[in-house]
Amino acid sequence: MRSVPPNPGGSLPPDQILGRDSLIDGYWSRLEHQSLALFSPRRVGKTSILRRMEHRAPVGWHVRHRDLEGLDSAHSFAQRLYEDASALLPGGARALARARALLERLTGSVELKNVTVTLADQNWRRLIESLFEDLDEEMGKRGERLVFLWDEFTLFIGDLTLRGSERDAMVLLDTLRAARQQHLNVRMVLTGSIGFHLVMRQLDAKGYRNRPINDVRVERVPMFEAEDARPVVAALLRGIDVEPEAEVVETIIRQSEGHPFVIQHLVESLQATRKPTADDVASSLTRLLAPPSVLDLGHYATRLSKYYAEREAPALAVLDLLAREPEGVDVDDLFVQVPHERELLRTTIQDLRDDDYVVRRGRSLRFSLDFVRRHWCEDRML
Amino acid sequence: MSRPSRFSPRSEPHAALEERTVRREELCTSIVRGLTDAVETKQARFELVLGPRGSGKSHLLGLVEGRLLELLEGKAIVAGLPEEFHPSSLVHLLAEILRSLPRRPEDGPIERQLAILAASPEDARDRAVTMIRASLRGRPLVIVIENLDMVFVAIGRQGQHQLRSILQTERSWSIVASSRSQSPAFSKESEPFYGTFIPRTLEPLSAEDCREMLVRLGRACDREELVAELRSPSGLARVRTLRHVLGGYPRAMAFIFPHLHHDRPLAVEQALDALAEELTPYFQEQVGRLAPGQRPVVELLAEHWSPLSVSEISSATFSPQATTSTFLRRLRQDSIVRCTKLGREHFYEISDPLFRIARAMQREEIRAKTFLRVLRGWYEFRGLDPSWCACALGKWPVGAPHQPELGEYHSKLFVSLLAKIMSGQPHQALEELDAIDDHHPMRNAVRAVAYGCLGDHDRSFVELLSVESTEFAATVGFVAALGRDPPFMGGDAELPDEHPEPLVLELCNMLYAIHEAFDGRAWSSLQAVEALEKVLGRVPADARRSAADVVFRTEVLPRLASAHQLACCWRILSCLEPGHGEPWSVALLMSMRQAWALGCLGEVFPSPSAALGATESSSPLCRVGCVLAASDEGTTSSGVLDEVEASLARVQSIALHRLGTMDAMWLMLISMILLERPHEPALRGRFLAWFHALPEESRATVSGAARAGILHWVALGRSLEPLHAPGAREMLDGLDLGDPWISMPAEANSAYVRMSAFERALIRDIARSLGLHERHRALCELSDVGS
Repeated sequence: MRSVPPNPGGSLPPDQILGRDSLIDGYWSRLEHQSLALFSPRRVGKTSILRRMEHRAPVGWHVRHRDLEGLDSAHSFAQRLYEDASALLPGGARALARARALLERLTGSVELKNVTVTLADQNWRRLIESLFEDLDEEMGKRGERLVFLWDEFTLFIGDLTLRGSERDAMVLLDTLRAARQQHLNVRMVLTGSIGFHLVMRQLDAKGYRNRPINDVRVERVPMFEAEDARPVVAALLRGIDVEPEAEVVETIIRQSEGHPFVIQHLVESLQATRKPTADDVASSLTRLLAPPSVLDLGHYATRLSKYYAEREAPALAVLDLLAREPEGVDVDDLFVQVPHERELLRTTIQDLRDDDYVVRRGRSLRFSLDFVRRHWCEDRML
Repeated sequence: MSRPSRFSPRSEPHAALEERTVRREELCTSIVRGLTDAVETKQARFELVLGPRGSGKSHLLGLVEGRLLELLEGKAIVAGLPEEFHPSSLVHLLAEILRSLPRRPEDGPIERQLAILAASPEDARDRAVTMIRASLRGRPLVIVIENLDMVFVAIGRQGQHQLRSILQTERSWSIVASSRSQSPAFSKESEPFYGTFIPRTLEPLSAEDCREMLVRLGRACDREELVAELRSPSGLARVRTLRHVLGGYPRAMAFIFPHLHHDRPLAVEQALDALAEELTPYFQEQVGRLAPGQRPVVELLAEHWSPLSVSEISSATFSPQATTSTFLRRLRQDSIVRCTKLGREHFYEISDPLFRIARAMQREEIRAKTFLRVLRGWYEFRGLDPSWCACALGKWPVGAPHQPELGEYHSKLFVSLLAKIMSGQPHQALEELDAIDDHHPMRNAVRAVAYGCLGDHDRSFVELLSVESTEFAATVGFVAALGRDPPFMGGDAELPDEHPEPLVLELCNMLYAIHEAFDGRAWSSLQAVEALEKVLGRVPADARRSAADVVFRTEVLPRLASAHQLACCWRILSCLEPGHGEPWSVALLMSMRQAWALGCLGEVFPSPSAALGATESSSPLCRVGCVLAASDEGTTSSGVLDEVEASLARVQSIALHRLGTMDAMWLMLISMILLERPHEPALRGRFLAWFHALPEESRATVSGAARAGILHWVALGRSLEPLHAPGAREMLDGLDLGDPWISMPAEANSAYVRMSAFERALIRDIARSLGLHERHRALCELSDVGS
C-alpha cells in the first residue's frame, strides 16, 4: 500500500511519481522511432513525467535530463550540452574528439570540466553539431542510444525570441532538427508549457519559414484517467493518515477532473479533516478555485490579449459560447453562431485546441476542463 | 523568560518563541510536518507564509526553523537566512545560503569561497550551486527566507527562472518563506514560480487570542497584576477595544503591551501617546522609503479612519486620478494599503492600523478625534455590577434570573432617583447623582435611564454599555421589566402600546442617534454596529426577535450606510437565532439593495462564487439570497443558474400542500430572480417547464405562493426599477396562475404603506394587469392609509 504525502507544487522523487507508467511506457515505445515533444499547460506534471521516464529508462538507453529554464542564450545552451555530453561519456577526451578539437581551435585550449568559453557569433552552432556527431558516433559504437530530456524547451526558445535573439532561436531550432535527422542514435524529448505554435508565430513574423519540429511526435500530456488516478489519490490520502474510502477517492477524481495539481491541493486541504467526506472534497474545491486561487484561472482570459492579437475577439466569442454549454457545441453550429469569418475562426479554434482551452470529441467542441469553464462563466459574467 | 523582541523574533531563543506562540500552533505544526515528511521522503516542498507587516510571519518562521532544526538534525540542513536580507542578484542569494550553512574545518573559511564567486562572475551561479551542493554532502536542504516577495523583485524575473531551474535540478532543496502578500511572482501563471508555493495566510488574532498574547507577554515580563486584570471580563473588553483600534496582529499587541497598566486605566491616552511617539520614527522611515508621489497618499489614508475612494484621494492630494490609481496599485502590491470593492467602486485604507496611531500624534486635530474614539471604546466597558440595581427597587422584576443583595441605603437612593426620572425630572436625578460622592455601580444604569428620557441617546447608550458584560443580560431584563411594570411606581405607570419592547427600541434609537451624531463614516458606525452586536447578543432570547424586528423596521442598520457595517449587520442578523435569522438576513439584503448586498458579500467573501460556496452549508433560503445578490451585478453565471435550478428542484421536492411562509418567501425570491432577469429565457423556460409539469391541484397552490411571493417582493421591493415593470408583468402573465391566492403578508402591507407614490402606482399597475381586482382595491385602500 503506497503512502505519499501530498506536496502541491513540490518536487517528487521518481519512485513517488505514480499513475503515469503506462503513459511513460508509450513514450519510450515512440522514442524507438522518433523524438517527442510533450506539451501541456503548467502544473500538469511534465517534469514529473520526465523524472519518471529517466527512472524507467529501458536497457540500452542513456538519459540526460536538463531543465532549460533560465538559460539566457544559445551559447549557454551549447555549454550545457557540452557539460552533459562530457558527463555522459567518461572517456570524453576521446569520445568528444570533434567538439574538443573545435573548442581548442576557438580558444587555444580547453578544460573538460567547468568549461567556460565564449562562443562568439554562431560558433555555438558548430559546437552543437560537433557534439551530436561525437555522441552519435560513440553511441553507435556502443550499440546504445541517448535521449536528452529537455524541460521547458518552449520557454527557452520563447525567451530567446523575447530577448531579441530570434535569429539564434531559428538557427538553434534548425540545428537541432538537422541533428535529429542525421544522428539516429540520439533522441530528444522537448517539453513546453506555453504554446510552441505561438512561439513559432513570433518567429514567422521575423521571416522564419521552417517547421523545426515537424519530425517530432507531438504529444499532449493528459490529465489522469480515472483508473490511473485511483492509486495516486489513495496513496496521497494515506500520506495524510486517511484511509482512502472509495467515495472520497472517486469524488476527488471527479472534482479534480484528473488534474494532478488540483488533486494534490485537494488532498493537502483535507489534512485538517480527521475523516474527510465527499462534501469536504467539494468544499475544498470551491475554496481552491475561489480567487485568489493558486490556479490563477484568470490567466485563461488574460493571456488571449497577449498571444492571440487579431484572433482575440473570435477566441472570446468561441469560448463564451462553449462556456454556456457544458456538453459542448457542434462545430457546424459554432460556425453559424459565432459571427466571424470562417477561416479566422478555424485557425482560432485550432490555436485554442493547441493551447488546451478546448478539446474536440467527434464533431463536438467543449472546454478541456469543466472547472475552467465554470470559472470562465463567472469571470466573463455569462 | 526573555524580553520579547518586537521586530526580530527570530533572534530570540526558540523556547521563548514557543512560549509566546498564540493561535499559530496548528499552522506551524502543518508546515513543519509537511517539510519533515518531504525531507524523509526525498521530496522538495515550498511553503509560503503570507501576512502584512506585524502579522507574525517572522515569529512563525522562527518557530518553524527551531522545530526543524530539532526534528531534522542529522537528516537535513536547515539554512536560515537573516531577517533583513536584500540580495542584489541570484548569486548574492546563493552566496548567503552558502554562508548560512554549517561549516566543517575542511571547508575552509567562507570568505575564500565568496571571493572565488566574486572573482568569476560569468559562472558564479554554477559555482555557488556546486559549493552549496558540496557542503550538503548529499543531505536535503531547507532554506528559510523572509520577505521572499522582495527577494524575488531583487533578483528579477531572469533570476527567478534560474532559481527555479536550480530547484528543479537539485530536487531536494525546500524553501519555507514569508511574504507580505500573494504577489504575482507566486500566483500568476505567467511567472516562474506559479503554483510552486503552498500559500498559508496569517489571519488577525481574535480578541481572545490578543488577550492570551498580552497575558503571555505579561508573564514574560513578570507583570502578574496586569495578567490578572487581563484575565478578567473587563480585561477582555479592553483588549477588544484595543484590537479594534490597533488591529489584530501580534506586533500591534506587542507594541501596546509596555504601555498597559493594570492600575492606571486612565493613562490609556498617555499610553497611546507614548506608543505613537515610539512608532513615529518607524513609520517615518517606512514613509521615507516610498516614492515621493506615494507619500501623500499614505499620509492621507493614515489620517482617515475610513476607506477613501480614488477620486477622494486624488482630490485631497491634488494629484490626477490616473496617477493616484497608479500609486494606489503599487501601494497595494506592497501591502501598504488594502482595497475594498463596493459595487464598481474601490475604496482604499491603510493596511496597518498602527500607521494611524503614529500619524494621529502629528496632527493635533486628528489626535483629539482619535483619542476621543479610543477612550470611548476603552471606558465603555468599565465595570459596574448592575445586578445590584434591582435590589434598589426592593422588588426584583418577574422573570429576572436572580436577586442580588443590596443595602438599604442604596435601595432607597436609587428608588427615589428612578422615581424622579419616571415622573419627568431626569435633570434633577442626574444632578443628584453627580452630587453624590458614591461610585456605586448602580449609578450607570440609573444614568442610562435618565439620559434616555432626555433624548440623549448617545450618552445613554454609553452608560448602558458601561455595565459589566457578565451582568448585562440581567440589566437588560431589569430595564425591560422596568418599562413593563415599574415596581417603584406601584405598577400604575404604563408605556404606550406601540413600544412593546422599550429597551430594544431605546437601544435602536440610541444607535441611530450615535449614527447621526458622528459623520456616518466607518469608524463610529462600526463601533455602533459592534455595540449592537453585543447588545443583541445579550438581549434575553425571547426579546431577540423583537429586537431584530425593531432594528429592521426602524432602518437603523441600513442607515449605517457603509458596506462594512452592512456586512456586519448581515452577519449579526443571520446569526441571531437559528430558524429566525434567515428572514431577517434576506430582508436586510433586500433593503440594502442588491448592489449593496453584493458589496457586503464581497466584504465577507472574495467573489460571488465564494459567496455561493460559503452558503453551501446554509439553508436554501439564505443561499438564494446570496444568489440574488450575485445576480444583480450582472454576474449571473451558469453557476448562479445552477443554483436557481437547484432551488427549483427543492421546490419540487416540497409537499406542495405544506407550502408555508418560508417556502412562499423562498419561492418569492426565485420569482424575483426571474423578474429581475427577464432576458434569461433559459431560466424562465426552466421555471415554466417545471410549473406546467405540476399536477393541476398543485399548480394553483404554487402559483398562489409564487404570486404572493412576487407581490410580496414588489411590496418590499426597494430595488424595483421601472424597467422591470414590463418584465414583471410578462412574467406574471406568463405564469397563468389560475385562482388568485393573494393574502398579502403583513410585512408587505406595512412596507407598502411606506412606499413612494411611484412604487405604489407601479404595484397597482401590475395588480391591474393581472386582473386582481380585489387586490387592487385592497392596495388602493392601503395606499390611502399610506398617504
